[in-house]
Amino acid sequence: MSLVSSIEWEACLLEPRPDAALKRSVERETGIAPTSVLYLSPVPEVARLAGRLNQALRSRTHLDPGLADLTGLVVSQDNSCRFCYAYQRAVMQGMGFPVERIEQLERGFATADFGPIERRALEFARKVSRSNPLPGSDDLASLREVGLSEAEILELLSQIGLFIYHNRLATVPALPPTWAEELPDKWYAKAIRPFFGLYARRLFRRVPPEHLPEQERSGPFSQVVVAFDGLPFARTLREAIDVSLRPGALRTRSKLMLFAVVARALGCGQTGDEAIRLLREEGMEADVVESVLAHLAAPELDDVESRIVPFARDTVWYNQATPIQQRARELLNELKLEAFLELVSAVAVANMVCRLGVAVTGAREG
Amino acid sequence: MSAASWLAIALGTAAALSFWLLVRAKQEQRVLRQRIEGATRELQNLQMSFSRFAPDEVIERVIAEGIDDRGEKKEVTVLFADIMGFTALSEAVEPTVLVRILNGYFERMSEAIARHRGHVATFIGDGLLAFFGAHAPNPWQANDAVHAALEMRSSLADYNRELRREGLPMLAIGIGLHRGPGVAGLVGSHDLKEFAFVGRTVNVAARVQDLTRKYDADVILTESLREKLDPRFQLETLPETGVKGVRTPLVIHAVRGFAEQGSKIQGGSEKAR
Repeated sequence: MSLVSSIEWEACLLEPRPDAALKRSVERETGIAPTSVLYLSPVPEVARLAGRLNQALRSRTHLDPGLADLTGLVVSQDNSCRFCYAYQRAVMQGMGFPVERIEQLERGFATADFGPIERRALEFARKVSRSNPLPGSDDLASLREVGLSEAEILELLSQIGLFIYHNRLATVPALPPTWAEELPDKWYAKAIRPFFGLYARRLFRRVPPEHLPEQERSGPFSQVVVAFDGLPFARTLREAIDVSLRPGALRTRSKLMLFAVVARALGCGQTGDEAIRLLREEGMEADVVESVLAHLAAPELDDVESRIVPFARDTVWYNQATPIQQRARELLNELKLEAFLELVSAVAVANMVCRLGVAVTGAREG
Repeated sequence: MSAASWLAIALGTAAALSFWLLVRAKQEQRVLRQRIEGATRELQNLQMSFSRFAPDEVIERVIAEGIDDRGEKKEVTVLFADIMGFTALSEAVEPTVLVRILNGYFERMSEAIARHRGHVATFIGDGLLAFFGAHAPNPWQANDAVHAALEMRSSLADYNRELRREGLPMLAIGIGLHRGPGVAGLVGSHDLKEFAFVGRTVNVAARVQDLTRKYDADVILTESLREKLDPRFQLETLPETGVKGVRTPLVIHAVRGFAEQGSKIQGGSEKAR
């Protein structure tokens, strides 16, 4: 058991809602339906997106698989996500990753026995995940110095971004981590480990490079999407942004506000500017947008927006004095379930896009 | 006994000895591993505790490279709080009671500050110095700091009700708030260092806190903070006042409360003095 498993974690905010047809469809499309699908099923589009972003985690083009796995572990540890950490740890153990190396990491990042590439890459992962201070061109240069290619760096970034998304998707509604935390110590898990390894290796695949079709090179936050051109991740990111901004239980402008607030919190200039531009295109007056960003409130916001805008800020850096899951529970009591699920998905995507935006564009505010 | 028997006994003994040594080594390894895990857990807990006093980045740098003299310019909101008439209070109650009253007070005030993303930098006697935006960038630090001050006001009102029930003297506080630039870094002597934010901004907040007595207002903030503030905060502009160390008179405002949309003012002053 790691220190991560001692992090306070609320009882799951959501009821599991099995939807056999949806599960089958996600499995058919992505190879496996992650646990989150069970909880997100009331909004199938959000559940499907979680499935695709889970598949993206398992698809590697250039990056060393071991490094990609460690990145997930480090980012989840850094984001205090018990759910993702437990699953990542269990999967890595199941696939034969030496448990001693995981334990070393748990004993302390500074003292763990990493090679120079691993150390720099994982330091970079922590820096992007924390974004305090924001990563800059020096950090990218330090990755090139140890021999990582541009394609590997981009793929490393995509893995970091995907875990930033999954960490929030699991942490905000407190998806239950206990099963995955206990699994590696169960006798039957140990007994079937060799077979699990074979099964899991089929899910983790090498995928060929892929270029963005012309029609997917534009759209909201395209500067971040296009930066990943050449990786299949670029198309997944395009889809994640489009799904997150599509009107549903929440309006598009409400969702754009979430992106704008996350960008403002992080000091992510370019993504923030684009979110403001898109809000203006949605018909919001400049002074209203400015009020929302300056005070997380404005008289022109509707009841739902007045509640979700301050919440978006809480998902960037968690405040230990008011745990995010308590805040989410309060919000769930005030919103319709569908609106809450769309909110969770949109803030998770917004955190991924804004953090990646800083790293790929080097854009900083002030 | 034949040589073969002796050989068998010797081999058996050697095997038993090897087995015993192996078991011992395994046991020792297990004990050692438990000790390392215990020490690691303590270190990690210590690191988590330290994160209340300095940004994670500074803590990691100290662990990896040791203490350095690096400083960073930042725009921070400073909150300075002080108990009114503390000297008289300290002479009126038993030392043990005084410490209990003070600890209860600091506990409640610190919670209010942490809930609004501030951190208490230090307790100076009965005074308290807190920063907003010093650990992590915070574009909403002005609103956070004033919300914290209002929560301190209402927490103190609750605490005073408890003190009154116990027949103990009630407390009154003055809070000064100011926003401005300064330098954040590890400051102190070789033996004792703390993560501090230094500069004129801290001094001005302390001076503004002094003015709460003069104007009989428990929360006063400066114009530089008001400029960044949500207009829903209910402010009353006070006369421009000169303070030591600042050339021009300060424009200051007393904070009366916060008006939620379509609701009554929250956090209105409840006078205890």
